[in-house]
Amino acid sequence: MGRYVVRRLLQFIPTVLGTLFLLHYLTSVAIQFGGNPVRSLFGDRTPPPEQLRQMTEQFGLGDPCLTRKGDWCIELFGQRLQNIFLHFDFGQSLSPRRDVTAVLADALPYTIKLTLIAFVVEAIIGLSAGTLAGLRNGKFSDYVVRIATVLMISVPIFVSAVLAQKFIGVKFGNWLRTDLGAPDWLGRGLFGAAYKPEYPFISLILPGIVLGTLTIASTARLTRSSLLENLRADYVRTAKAKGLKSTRVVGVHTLRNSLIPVVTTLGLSIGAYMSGAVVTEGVFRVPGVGFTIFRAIGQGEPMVLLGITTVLVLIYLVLNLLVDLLYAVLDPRIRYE
Amino acid sequence: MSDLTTAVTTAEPPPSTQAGPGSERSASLWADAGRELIRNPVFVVSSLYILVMASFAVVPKLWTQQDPQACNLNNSMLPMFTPGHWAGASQRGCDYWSHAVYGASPSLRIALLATLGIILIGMPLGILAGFYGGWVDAVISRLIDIVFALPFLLGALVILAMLRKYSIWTITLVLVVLGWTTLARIMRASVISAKSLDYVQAAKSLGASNSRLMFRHILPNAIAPVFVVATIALGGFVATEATLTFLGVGLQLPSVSWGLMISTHDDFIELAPHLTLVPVTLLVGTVLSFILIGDALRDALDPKLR
Repeated sequence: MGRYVVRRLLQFIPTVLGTLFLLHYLTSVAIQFGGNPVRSLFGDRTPPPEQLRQMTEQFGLGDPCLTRKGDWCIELFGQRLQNIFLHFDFGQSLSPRRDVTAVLADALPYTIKLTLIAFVVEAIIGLSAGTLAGLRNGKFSDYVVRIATVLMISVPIFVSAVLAQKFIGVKFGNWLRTDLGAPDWLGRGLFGAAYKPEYPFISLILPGIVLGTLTIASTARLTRSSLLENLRADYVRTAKAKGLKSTRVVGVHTLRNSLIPVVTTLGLSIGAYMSGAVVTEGVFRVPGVGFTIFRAIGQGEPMVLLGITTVLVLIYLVLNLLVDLLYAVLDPRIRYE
Repeated sequence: MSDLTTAVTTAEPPPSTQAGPGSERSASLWADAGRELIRNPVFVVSSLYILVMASFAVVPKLWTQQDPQACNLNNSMLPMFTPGHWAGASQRGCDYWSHAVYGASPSLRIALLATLGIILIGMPLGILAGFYGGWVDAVISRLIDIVFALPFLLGALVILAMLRKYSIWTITLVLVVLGWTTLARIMRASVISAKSLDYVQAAKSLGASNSRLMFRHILPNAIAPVFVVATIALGGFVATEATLTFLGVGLQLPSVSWGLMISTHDDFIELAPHLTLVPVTLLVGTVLSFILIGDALRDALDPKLR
């Protein structure tokens, strides 16, 4: 295990640097071809050159390499790395004028809560649907789960978010409140169209479920196929031959081994949640990281985006590293590869 | 790189020509798969749906005589089944059915171009990594890891927001740059498992050159999973394009696309639900069809299931 951890950590450093460089390079090329993004803050007005220069400088986009098409901007990358790892500085947002780290510190709790709800939804529904389908292979419930998962995969997250908001949040919520006289927490909180500060947890449940649907399908399908594979394994036959109850054979012996590959999809889920949060938080107005990104796009403030995305990518990489290590703890075959 | 990719595309035909019309009991993988697919109702229906959508994109005149840009504000948000505008009219008073028809084109074009792009990048890299192993594999696999570490949609968002030039080409480019990794991984794994098979070893011992081994022997037997992934990717790109448009970094008005139709009308869903539901149905149907075709292909191309 120790050797595996060391090897994995050694691989981790170049991956982090490589990914940050890729992000830096792609955005630099985008600026080189698209022109100074600060200009978009002024809309149609032509800003005074001095003000433009000053603001560009402030956002760390004053480097002349950003005007040379195809330049790798190595020096700028070095500067950014220094800012990130030595000064913990990810740039500034314009309105309100704050450090990106401060903006994130405010927004992150909402996103973490939302993601946890989504994760619980994914785990409960995904695992139970997958187990059901795996055990009833070829039967009716198997088909139901398979069809439902394909449908879920094909609905883009923004469609499910908009439909859930309008039909469950607005219509159903209004009906509950006006026609049934349901209490406020139910009609406006749980089935509300947007995040309500007075119900900090309840009003996150609907967006959380929407976010969770993003990964329920893949979890269910993976659980199903891995369960099917394991049910044919020798050790399951042995357990059955010993006369163990089928609940024990499935619940203790098979399921425990079948869930190991599901753990790896956790890492992938995190990436999907990060992208999905932009849409769900944008639609449901949850003041989290995703909404910050959503607003930054709308206000034409792409410089903040780079800072936030850099933080998110770092978080994503660290979490993925942890998931990999967890996988190695659970499955000895990985660490002795 | 370019002669490699042409070699890849020219290497594709052999498996299908083996199953020529003359051979009575042709047992090639592709002929068997084709026969099975024709009998699969899910595959047939999905393919027909995609064909209809493709004809929306290629010959929209076949489906509607109206010009999607000819709008009349008096017609704003007409309900469905109004004479002359059977799908109603948009908020700006444009005929909605013509929007639905013309809206297929950008989505499908971006999806097709992006899928071709990830095949052109992912396949050669996957073959090289799988075939040569060693440091070539190490370098390519690291590169895949690095690109894969950028969350797909988030990365596309940032780059497009920085570029601020939203056209079919820029969107496609960004999708390709960030999206080729899965295909390369599948190709690599598939080549590795085909490489160690007996007939490849036999060809090697007969003195076949590396390129012959790669393109004549390994590739035709390793390419099936790539087709499956590429088909599913088509659906994924349709969904991604619509999502990017919804977030404001995709196509912009006055372009006509399903994503734009949804994002401009979702606020009026109470007054005119059809303005959201029509494009949603077409969009979800397209993504669903591509995924079902991919699933059917996977089942048909896996001889172990027969």
